[in-house]
Amino acid sequence: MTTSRQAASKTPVIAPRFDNLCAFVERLKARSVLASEEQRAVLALPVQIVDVPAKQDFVPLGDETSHCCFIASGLVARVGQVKNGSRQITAFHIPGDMADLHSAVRPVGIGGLTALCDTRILRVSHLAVRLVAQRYPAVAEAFWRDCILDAAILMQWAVNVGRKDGRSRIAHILCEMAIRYGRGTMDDALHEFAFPVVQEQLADAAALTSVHVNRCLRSLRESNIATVRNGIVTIFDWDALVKAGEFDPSYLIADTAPDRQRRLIAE
Amino acid sequence: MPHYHLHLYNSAETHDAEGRDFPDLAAAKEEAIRSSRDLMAEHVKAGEAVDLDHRIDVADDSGKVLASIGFRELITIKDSRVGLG
Repeated sequence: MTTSRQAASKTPVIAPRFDNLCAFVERLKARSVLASEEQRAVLALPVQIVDVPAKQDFVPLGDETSHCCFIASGLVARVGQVKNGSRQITAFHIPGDMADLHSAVRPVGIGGLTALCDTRILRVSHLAVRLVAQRYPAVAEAFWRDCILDAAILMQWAVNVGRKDGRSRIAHILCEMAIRYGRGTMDDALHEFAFPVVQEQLADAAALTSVHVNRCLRSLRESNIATVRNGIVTIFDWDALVKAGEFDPSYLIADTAPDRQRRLIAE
Repeated sequence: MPHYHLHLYNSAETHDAEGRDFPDLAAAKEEAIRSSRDLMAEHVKAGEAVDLDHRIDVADDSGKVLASIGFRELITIKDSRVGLG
């Protein structure tokens, strides 16, 4: 068992890092048809680089923002908080995501954003986002779909934390991240990837205590299904992980089939 | 912030290699208590026995155990049939 784990880790796992909005355009193109002029218009959005240290809120809860945040590197959580200070992570945002695209039209009242590790953000002003959407209806349509993907993920998370046991919740999150860090399809789900979370953050995402998360991870490890160690996820048995997480990827990929990508609004 | 490890000793031992930061030992103990109650509740919900000998140890980075939270101390069971009558 130990041998196969070591063998899987031979090639170094490199965390994604982007310098521009190319990855965001790719994310949009997975669900929407964009002409090259429209793609160029999104790529040409002016950005401002902001480096956020680990554990810092960069969109504080309740604050109104004037820009959207593209994740260039690192890892971001959307969070809500209750009176005693404990937090619930309601989404993970990974490099390539525009974490709060919706804020261009709703700049307040949808939780805060916090960096879980050292993170680079490319800020895009709401005004610029609205202008490109106004000029190119296909881009507006693609933005709309992108926001709905985030809503679909959130809905699935509610089911995950509301109706599954601890081990299943953790397995579900690992399946989702394997697909999102990969090329967004079930077949290309990564079997080893950097996911720089600690147990405490997984606990906040799965609505468990960190002791419980540790116990669930031990169970997945001892069943030779998956490990999470030092921010690296290694999946030994994808089918078993999917089963353990009761994972159905429709919420992530249903709209990526070519016949689903046709323009419905834009000419 | 100081770093503590919460090791779980129930039907099997779950060593907390990673640990996490807490403002102080009292906060770490509070989390150990919360976690113990949460695990007991899981057992009750699953229809499994709650073993009062189980515990969570709070240790520092050197492995020294600073506090031990026994499940026995965290649960009260009322039952009129086995009461003092």
